[in-house]
Amino acid sequence: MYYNAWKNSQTTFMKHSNFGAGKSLEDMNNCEWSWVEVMRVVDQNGKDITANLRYEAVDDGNPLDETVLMLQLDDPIMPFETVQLNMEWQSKVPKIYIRTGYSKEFFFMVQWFPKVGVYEPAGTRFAKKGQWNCHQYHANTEYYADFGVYNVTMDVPENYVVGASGYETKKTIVNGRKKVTYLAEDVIDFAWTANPHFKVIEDNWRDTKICLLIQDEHICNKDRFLESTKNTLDFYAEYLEPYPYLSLTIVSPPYHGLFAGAMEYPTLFTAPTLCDLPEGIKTTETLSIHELTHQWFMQMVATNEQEEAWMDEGFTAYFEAKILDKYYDHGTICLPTIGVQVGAKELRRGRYMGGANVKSGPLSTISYQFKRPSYREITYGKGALMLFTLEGLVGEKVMQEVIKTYFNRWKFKHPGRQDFIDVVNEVVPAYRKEQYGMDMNWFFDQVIYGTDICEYSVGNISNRKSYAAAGYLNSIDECTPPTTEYEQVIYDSRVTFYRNGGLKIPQEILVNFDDGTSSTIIWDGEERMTTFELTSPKRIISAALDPQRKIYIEHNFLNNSKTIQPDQTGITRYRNSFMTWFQQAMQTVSGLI
Amino acid sequence: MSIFDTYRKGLQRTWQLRKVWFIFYGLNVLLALVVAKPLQSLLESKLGNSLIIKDMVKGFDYTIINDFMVNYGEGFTPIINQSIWLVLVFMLMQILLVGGLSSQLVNARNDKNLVEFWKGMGAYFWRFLRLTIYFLLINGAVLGLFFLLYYVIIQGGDGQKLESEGIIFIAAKIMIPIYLLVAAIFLMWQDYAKLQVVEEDSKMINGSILNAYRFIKTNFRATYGLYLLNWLGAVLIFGIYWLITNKMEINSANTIWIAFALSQIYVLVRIILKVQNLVSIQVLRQAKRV
Repeated sequence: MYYNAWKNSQTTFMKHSNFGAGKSLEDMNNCEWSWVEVMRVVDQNGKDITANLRYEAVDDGNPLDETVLMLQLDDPIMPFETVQLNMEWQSKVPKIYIRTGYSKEFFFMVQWFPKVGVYEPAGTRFAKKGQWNCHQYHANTEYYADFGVYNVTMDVPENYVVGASGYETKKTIVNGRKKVTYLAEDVIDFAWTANPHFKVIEDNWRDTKICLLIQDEHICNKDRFLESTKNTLDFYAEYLEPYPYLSLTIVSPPYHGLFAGAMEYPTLFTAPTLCDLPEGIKTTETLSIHELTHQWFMQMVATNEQEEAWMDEGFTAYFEAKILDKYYDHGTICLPTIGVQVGAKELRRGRYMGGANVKSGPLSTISYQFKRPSYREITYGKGALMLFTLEGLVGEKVMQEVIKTYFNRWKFKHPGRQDFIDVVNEVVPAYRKEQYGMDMNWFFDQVIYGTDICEYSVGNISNRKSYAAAGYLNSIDECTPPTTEYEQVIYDSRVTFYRNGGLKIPQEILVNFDDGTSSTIIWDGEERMTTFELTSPKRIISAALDPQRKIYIEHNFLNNSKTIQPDQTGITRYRNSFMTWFQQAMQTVSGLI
Repeated sequence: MSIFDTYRKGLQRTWQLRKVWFIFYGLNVLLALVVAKPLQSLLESKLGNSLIIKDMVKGFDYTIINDFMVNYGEGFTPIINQSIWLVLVFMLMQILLVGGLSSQLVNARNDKNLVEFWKGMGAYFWRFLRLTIYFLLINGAVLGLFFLLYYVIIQGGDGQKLESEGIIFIAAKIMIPIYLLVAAIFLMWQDYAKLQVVEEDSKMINGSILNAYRFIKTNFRATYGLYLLNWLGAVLIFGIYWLITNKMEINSANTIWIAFALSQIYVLVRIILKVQNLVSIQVLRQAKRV
């Protein structure tokens, strides 16, 4: 009963929402609250069971929260039995707010009907025995629903353009009213939109009809939408599995309806755009790729967004970065006039590392129990970095095998985190048993259930001339002086490595010598410190931990390497740039004098 | 005399004032070094021996900057704080130097001798400080007025009230040039007032400001045209600098230093144009009074 989240100011959603303050006093004075109410329920025998309905705040007991409605049946439903219920309900559509509602003539209708919770039989996710999984609507969380078939008829004024989940099966126009029927099969939700100002841009990808519903003022970006959508569809066709549905609708909302997006629904997603943004800022592409990726991760592999948001957002953020970096080699942000270029993967990492408190909770935290504002960076950021790190450890091919196995095993079902871990533990040892043992639990225990950060660094490098044994060696009567007895100078070389963070991940170490050779060694990363020592004619000139940046969750790449022959050119560039920038700033200020 | 003749004559006298350019430039470089040196030390202490600095040669690197700010950002904060204070010091020093320059332009018979410049620095400092404060307030009010107007036009950017975002961008595109043209009038008034203050040499500057306004009003086409011509020169120079630096590929020590040399030339040219602006104004004032 999602619309009840905005029924009053004391619902659980409103109390915990940053957006709560977004309800203006004017809206509250005008009683712009929304609601959904079931008026009547009749069972298959025609018996009115409306009296069996009761609201229950299952998560926090809040008596003013009516987002979960329980219906007690007269008789329990037995295994393999089917029950049919007829329900009448009414909704007051909100003024557009948190992804749904109306704004002027634009309607974006999601979470608009009483959605049935998910029955999890024993063994599903965390269910020890059969149970309903239906949480209240919380400010942090999104949705969780079961697969179904939706056959929906929308009755709108004739001039309205309609788009919806699934595909159109029937359309009639009578007396200025348009009735459009959509059928959506094997989906977890049903969304629809209507707006007289939409332009319809149609295209195809294989057998899928792509329909872009866009405002006139945003038409300039239609190719960006279509190109990024097709790139994503191509990517998944090659990497995982082709998009299986016959239709895909992209809704680009008007400026006054921005709250409608960006968001994902079965066979439909929303992605706002602005024509005045520079072309080098790939917001349109990023949103399209991200929301379309959700078709695989949580529309088909239907994880629970309310409990394990990282399982869709982390996966989606991971693939969003991979797809963007593959198809847009100039970066997600590319502003050559000011020399700025940022790739999608590094942007995702940077946002996570700069997050307010990324240690405030593990990934395994139930989504609505996250403390703001860390929720977003942990679920999206840490989730994605964890997957990038896993890929770095096991290799791209093995990672693809993991994802394929996971997807094929769990599509159109409801997996939990342990189901993903089980797949990893099945696939990875088949390829990397010698490296990582029988399972990867050591990794997941730290990154999913722990809050420690990954921080390794290189300490000192020293190269001392080696001397033959000196001192009182044989008797106290004879002192042997230090001498180099070797034909050439021999060095005792040493470099130290530290584990500064709590996370323990095996590290590849590259040591370079002054004769141009190098050595690669593997450190299990367990101890707080380790030392690489060598006595030989060559000196160590530099050393680097994880030189290929496979451990992408590493907190500080700057101290991952050290050299005894520093080239200060880079620092000179930054110093000069800063100095020049400051000079220009001063000169600009002098215009006021 | 046309504004182009005035501009040309101004350039001739600006050339005579080469020493003054370098005094302005010296101050600029000195203060910039005061800021740049601690940054260099910070970078050297944190990254000096890291192999990652080779990635800094190509310029902006998001990962390096992000990791630096996340892990060592507290070292950067004092540098930023110091920069803000140095900008204030720079402004005070500019007031001093502009007083000297104005004195030189109005009182000196020979620009090879900078006695009037040095005398004027101290003589007009407090009056120029007051003048600067007055015009900072006026310019702030003009900016505030335009911002208020913009805010009203775009209805605070409120998505619920606007049909589309177009008005936000269109209004900005229209209003920014209009604002610049209006702001130019007040900045120009300030420049004329400086020379008027020196010429009248009165302790109270209000009369000089008023007289400068009268002069501009009487000769608006010439004064405003000349001012815009001076701005056009600055825009052209900026365009040329931008074109050159955008074509440059900076990937080695040599190119880094070439780029730095170009940036210094650009700073110097900006200073020359600033001097030229005031010189050409003085040429125009003299021409209109003959």
